[in-house]
Amino acid sequence: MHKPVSYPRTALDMFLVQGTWTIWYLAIVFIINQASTFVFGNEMEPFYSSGYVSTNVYMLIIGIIAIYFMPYYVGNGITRKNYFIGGVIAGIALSIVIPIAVYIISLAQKLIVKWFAAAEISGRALDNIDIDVDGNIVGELVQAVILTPFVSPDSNLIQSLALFAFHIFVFYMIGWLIGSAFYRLGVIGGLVSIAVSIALLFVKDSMIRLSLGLPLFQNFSALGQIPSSLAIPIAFAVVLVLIVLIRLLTKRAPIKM
Amino acid sequence: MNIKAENLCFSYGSEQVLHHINFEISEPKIYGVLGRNGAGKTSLLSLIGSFREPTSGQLLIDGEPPFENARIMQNVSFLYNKDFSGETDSPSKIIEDIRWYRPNFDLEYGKELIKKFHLEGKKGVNKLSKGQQSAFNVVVGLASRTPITIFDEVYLGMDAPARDLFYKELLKEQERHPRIILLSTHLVSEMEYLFDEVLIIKEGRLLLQESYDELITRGVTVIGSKEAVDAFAAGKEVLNTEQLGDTRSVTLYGKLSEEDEKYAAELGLSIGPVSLHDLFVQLTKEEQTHA
Repeated sequence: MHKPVSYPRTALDMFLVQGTWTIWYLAIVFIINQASTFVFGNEMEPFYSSGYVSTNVYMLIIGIIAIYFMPYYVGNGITRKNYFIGGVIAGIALSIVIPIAVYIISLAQKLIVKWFAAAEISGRALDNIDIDVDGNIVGELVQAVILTPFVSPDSNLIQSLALFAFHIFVFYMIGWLIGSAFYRLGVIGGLVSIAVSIALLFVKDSMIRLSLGLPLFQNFSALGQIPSSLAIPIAFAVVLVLIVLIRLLTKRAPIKM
Repeated sequence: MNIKAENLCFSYGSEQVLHHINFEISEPKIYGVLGRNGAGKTSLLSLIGSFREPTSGQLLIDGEPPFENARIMQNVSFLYNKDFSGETDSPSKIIEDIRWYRPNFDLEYGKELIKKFHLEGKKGVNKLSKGQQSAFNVVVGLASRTPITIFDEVYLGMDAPARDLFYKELLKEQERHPRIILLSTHLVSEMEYLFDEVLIIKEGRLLLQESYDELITRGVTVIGSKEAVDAFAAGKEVLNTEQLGDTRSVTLYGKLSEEDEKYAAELGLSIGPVSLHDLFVQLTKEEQTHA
């Protein structure tokens, strides 16, 4: 009797498929980033900053469609469990590889700029943008998605890459949660999962801000009471909650035909 | 392998689709799963394929529930009329991937089938015609060589030559690598020669499980002159009548007694077997409601 296919196989498969999408995605972001300078004459934005912001949305989207690996796998005789574990591992691997790739591309970008000396990379990096803490919930929501807490790679490379990886992994898991909820529970459940996701996102963001000593959004200033030593554990607890919710939704999910 | 259903029930929400189904399948043979639209064929097959879980009762494969059982699931293929609209890879590319998941997958045979069904090329499965997509399903099912292979109306949209090729390949495969093949269909008359055994489902209940040879002795076709046939058929349950000139053919339900046979011989009638199609229509027809 053959040993059944297990999660190393599904993890590798999913990573390779999502990795191929990622190469396309990074190429497109790079082209847009270059075009904005060389074609439209804007000040050059560091690629690391563009990547830091746009990858959140990218990971949210590939997280949402990660649920469609499930019918494929079950149809090929693989358990939901092995699909789930494979998906988590692939997400972690992507979240580690993408920040490193973005950083390497941004170094290459600096070299290109040096050779051509046609443009200068603006010093306006993300760490110089002040968040607007005016208490408008929608505004804060948009800012929380776009302006995830940032540490410049020049000030602390490891911390910057780790934070980058953590943010995009959370977005991937949030996407996967929303995708699973729509698949399993339909529209109402899906909408509830979006609300849950936004709440989890705020908690995660506030905890990271707390641990970095950044100001909190006004609507969530109550979270400032939490001792900063607990901030990182709570941020990781958010990931754990996401993992548990996705597993509960997919564990015994019927496959749509 | 062995499939056993004990008091198997399945519901979609409040609507009960399968009612207390009991059967056992052990031998590597071709089983025809017949039933009218909405009888519960696909629901039953999707439970065997671990796409869903029973609501109550038990479904066991080799003595264990198949749902989320990695060892069993890898040995069960469930092919159905799938929506391929998101599948941009070509048939050849997909079978290259599937071979990693199925322990007995025969890639060479899969490629050979792709040629036979004219599915070569780089065209994505979503761009193929309905019939070609069905043929692709057949390729996957045959080449996977899983000990339990389920074809749930996979022939939809396939033209006659393609269906014929499917039936021939199925029989050849069954000779080379015998396995439990569950074949659900509406095309009873076209496929009946394939079945070793037949399961008929009616309104979510298992009506019968019988060998094909046994089942077709449940009725007879009687052919002869109009008057003689009418005289013989009087008082018997007639399933179907056909007439050509002065010759009449009737299909009767039920076995003939020795006396009947003698009588038929006296009347000069010839007696032949009944078709599964006629029996199926008779057995699954709805009871007439009396006002």
